[in-house]
Amino acid sequence: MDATQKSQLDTFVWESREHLDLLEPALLRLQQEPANADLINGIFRAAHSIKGGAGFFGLTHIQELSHGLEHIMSRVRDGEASVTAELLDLLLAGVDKLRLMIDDPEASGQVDISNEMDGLRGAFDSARSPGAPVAAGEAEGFSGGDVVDLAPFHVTPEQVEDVAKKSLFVYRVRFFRVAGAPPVNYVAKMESVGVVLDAVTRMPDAPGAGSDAPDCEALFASVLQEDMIDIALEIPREHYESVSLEVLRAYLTEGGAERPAASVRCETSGTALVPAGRAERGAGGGKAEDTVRLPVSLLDDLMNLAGELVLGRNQLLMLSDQLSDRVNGFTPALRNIDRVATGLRDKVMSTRLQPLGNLFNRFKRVIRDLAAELNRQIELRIEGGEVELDKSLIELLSDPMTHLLRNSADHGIEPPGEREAQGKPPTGRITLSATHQGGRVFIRICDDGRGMDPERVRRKMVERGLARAEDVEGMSDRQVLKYVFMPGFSTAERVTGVSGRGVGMDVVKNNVEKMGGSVDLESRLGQGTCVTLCLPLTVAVAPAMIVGVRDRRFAIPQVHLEELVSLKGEMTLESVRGAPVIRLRGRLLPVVNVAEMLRIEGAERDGPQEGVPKRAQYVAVIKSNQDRFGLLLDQVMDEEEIVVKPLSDYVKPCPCYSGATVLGDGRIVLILDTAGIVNYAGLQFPDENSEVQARQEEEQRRRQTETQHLLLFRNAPNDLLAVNQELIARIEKIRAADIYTAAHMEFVNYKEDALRVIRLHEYLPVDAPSEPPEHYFMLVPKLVKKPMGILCRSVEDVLDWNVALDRDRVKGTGIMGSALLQDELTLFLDIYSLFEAVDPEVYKQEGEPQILRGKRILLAEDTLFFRTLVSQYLESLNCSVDVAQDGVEALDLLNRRSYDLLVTDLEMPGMDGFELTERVRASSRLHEMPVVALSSISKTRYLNRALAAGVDAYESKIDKEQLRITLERVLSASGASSGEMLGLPERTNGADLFDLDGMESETFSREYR
Amino acid sequence: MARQFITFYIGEEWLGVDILLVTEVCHGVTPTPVDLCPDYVFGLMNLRGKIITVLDLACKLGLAGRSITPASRIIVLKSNAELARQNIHATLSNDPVGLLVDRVGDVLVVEEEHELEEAPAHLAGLDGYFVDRVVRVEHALMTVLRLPEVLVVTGEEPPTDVETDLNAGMDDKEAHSE
Repeated sequence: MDATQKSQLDTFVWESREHLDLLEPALLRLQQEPANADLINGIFRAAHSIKGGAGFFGLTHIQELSHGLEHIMSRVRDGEASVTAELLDLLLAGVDKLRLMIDDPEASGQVDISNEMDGLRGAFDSARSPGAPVAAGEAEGFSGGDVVDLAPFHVTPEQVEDVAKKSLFVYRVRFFRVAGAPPVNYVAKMESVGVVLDAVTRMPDAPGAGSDAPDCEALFASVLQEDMIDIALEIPREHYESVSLEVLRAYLTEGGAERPAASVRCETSGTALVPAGRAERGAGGGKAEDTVRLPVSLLDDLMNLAGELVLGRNQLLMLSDQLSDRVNGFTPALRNIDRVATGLRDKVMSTRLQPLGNLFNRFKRVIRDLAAELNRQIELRIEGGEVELDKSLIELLSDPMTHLLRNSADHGIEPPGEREAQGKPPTGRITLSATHQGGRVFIRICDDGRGMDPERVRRKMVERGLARAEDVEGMSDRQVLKYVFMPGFSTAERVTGVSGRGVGMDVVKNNVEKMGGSVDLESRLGQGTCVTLCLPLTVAVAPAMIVGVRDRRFAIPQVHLEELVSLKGEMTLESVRGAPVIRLRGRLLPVVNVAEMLRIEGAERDGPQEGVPKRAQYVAVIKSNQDRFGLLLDQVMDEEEIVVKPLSDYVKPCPCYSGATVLGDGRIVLILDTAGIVNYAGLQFPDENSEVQARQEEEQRRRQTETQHLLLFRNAPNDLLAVNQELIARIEKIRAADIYTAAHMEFVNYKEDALRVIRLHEYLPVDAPSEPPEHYFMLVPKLVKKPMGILCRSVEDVLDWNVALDRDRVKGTGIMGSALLQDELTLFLDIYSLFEAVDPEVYKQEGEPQILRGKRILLAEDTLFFRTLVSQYLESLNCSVDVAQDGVEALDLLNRRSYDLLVTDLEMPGMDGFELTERVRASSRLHEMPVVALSSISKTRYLNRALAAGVDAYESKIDKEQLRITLERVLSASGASSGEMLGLPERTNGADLFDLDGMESETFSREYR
Repeated sequence: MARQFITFYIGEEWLGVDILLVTEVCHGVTPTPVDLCPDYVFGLMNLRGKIITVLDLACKLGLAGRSITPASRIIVLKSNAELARQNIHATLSNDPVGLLVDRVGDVLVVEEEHELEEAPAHLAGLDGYFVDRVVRVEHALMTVLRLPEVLVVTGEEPPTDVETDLNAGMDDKEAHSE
């Protein structure tokens, strides 16, 4: 097979795979919509296309089987056969076999298809009403005669003109597909003496039926005279005839050129082969889209180049300080390049992303088969299929997710009878959902089955020797469930063919962690199990902490980094049997001295010296698989998004690195391989099962849910200030000289507008800069009514930190609280109350919010930061606020106390806002409770889901003003309709309702846009 | 056909490689050292966003120890993919590699194939394994390196026993100093 044929075959393989990918979901849909003609036609076309291609390459088995599928579908289409479960099983089995063969087309001839063919033939025969003639003559073959019918061929005007220009003779040639030699070989032979304008193969109509007529035809142009053709092509004289140029031209005008013909194409009984990627993509109703296929390596190259561009931009930015004064227009030009470079990089990154829906849809089939096999009734609900993830990750996800779904179907969902006995609907539901949150993708696989019994898990743990009986006693149910991920654990009391085959949850966990993700499991006995996979958006770019050891820099992937511990204060390095450890919250943590492990030398100097960072100042707490350990570091520099590059063969044997990356300043740093370090350093871990540790883990987990992105900055050298990064739209460097005064206020010109700027020391109890600097940084907040720039002296850092906020130590307007960050007391800014203090005119609530006064509001929010922010704000509106940390707590409070309004976050651990709302709506006592959903991402993505769950309104939690308006609207609406029924002690009066009418329509339009 | 060789020195040794195999000669870069790697891996270098593994040629050839001077250069070789793209029939390394040399000399043009001689049986200081041909220029001898042999990955398995490792690391710091 030469290169051209090889590439044609490759094209056939991926085209066929696309058709198969469409066939399967289409067949599954057919079960629900057996009369959907579009669907039937789509399936028919897809099978037909595969058949055509296979025939062209002489792949007889693929051709026969796809023909069988096509044939059955044609009967269905004509109403001669009905769609039954048996028929679908046959068709799906056929699709499976086809896939198998197409994966290795050259070996497809050895694949046994007799079972599938017998099945299809059987179905065909039974579908045919007795006495009806066997469908034949659809492809009547070649009808000789004087008039040459060119019907199946496609020619282009260019081809015809070419023929005319070169004075070629055109023939219609029929030939046999030689057994064992695909027609493409014959076409190649013809190409040696002329040009094949188009070629088609015909299939015998019924599978296995023979035919004496030649089964291939070609439209052939050559310089050879008519009497030479038989010799040149080795065919009998009656198998070809001349076609005059006039006939050809006439055929062209009749519409033979509607579709551009591929250089060689194949065609059967009259239906068009649909080129992949074009207007229509076979079955399933795939949407039209212009696509181009590119090798991933090309995208990687583009990614590299885009990264380089960003690097070049950084260098230019560094030079800009010197140049911008001398060269007119330099700064705007640079800004432009800045924007373009960033945009380009983001776009190139996004090319690697693919919607998860493709993967999710594949599971419909898995669930259907499992349900049949296990005698369950299962409905698979898919949500968030549009969420995108790196292509390479999607491929890796297939196996772990299949396993989890099997678990859900096998162990989770009960047989219908058992479900009914428990008062559940007989059809179990598995929900597969994806959400995108803060640069990570969360995939949840939830079932409403029997859930896991913590007692049974406890018993198993002891039986399998994974834990001691006395340890198990003290563990919470949640901790116990974590052991499901331990190697050697399977809760299946019986081993079925479906799950419990030794590949356990530990494999799932390992696979997901290899992708840089994590797995979490929640389960409630009798109610169901929910597994959450948390994955990075892309593997190519990962956030990492850049750290320093002696003169070296290393990157630690953020996914493995749990926390950073400073050794400056009370925390010291201790030694246990000669091995360094630290005592972290009462637990000993083994520490690896990175400098010693890597044998990095540095000048041996005692004590701190100028320019030399102090040694061993930090311990990075690393979590790798099950193990937690510390890395002893000298410096912690920065968090950077790094592009992970593989190591060369020369460096690969080194045990402690997983890759390398080029930093923004052009330096290369090596990425530390945490798992490799565990092995290389031969770390010993203390008893994993101790109760203390389990408690610590619990605490750790709780703290993690409160991670927030902080922007640290200083106004004067001694005050460290922090603000949640999500509240800041931009940070701009401005010159002090650009600040001007007007009407006793200070302004800078920003984005062609005058922006008021404020100095923090004028409003907060912080120091003023000792001497006025030449440059300031200006923080521009987002989602405020009238933005003002906050001036600061320096921007220190951006951190992900788990903060316990102290609200009492430092109090005052504009301050939310304080916390120790890196051993320094840090003030947390409350931008809203600060702005209110600065500009009471604008930020004061228009009109006293009567309607909210005295209302009892329950706020369900898992993030401490937002809990504080929103509850403080609601309190400032004279509401009385109770807070719940998750849906479970909220529901409990709702059941015990009475509230006027529920404000809930949508994404929470445990029970999320959707479920909470659904339960409120399902409750006889609470179902008319007004519910307002909050989200940190104000996107329409959740809107429909939230509305479906039954919320009254949906707001961004950081847009306070809008939140107030929405709350007022919701309360006034419910006050009118249902306040009495809920027995609310306080009544809203009519005046409020009247006042709010105008706003109501405004907020509605905003929400439903 | 005339062939051109980029020549360079390791100590007193005059060496050369065919110019067609070379991408460029860099100077003034400080490669990032890679700890725990075989000694002949000098470090990693950023060449316009591409990460180049820099090999210490002296160490690889078994010549005198490494020393970086202002005259030091890194000769960046083409990777196999680049060679294939340019239709050069040679096999070097799959990864882009640079060779650290003490200083570079002239580009030597060898007009006739016969000027390239077989290596003499005894070549002072250099293992014959790495020698392809030699060229006599007046009284000097330029050695053309057998690059595929130079570029072989000799995977000195890093020691795995940690206890001894960490201790050893503390004891023989001088041995690893650069």
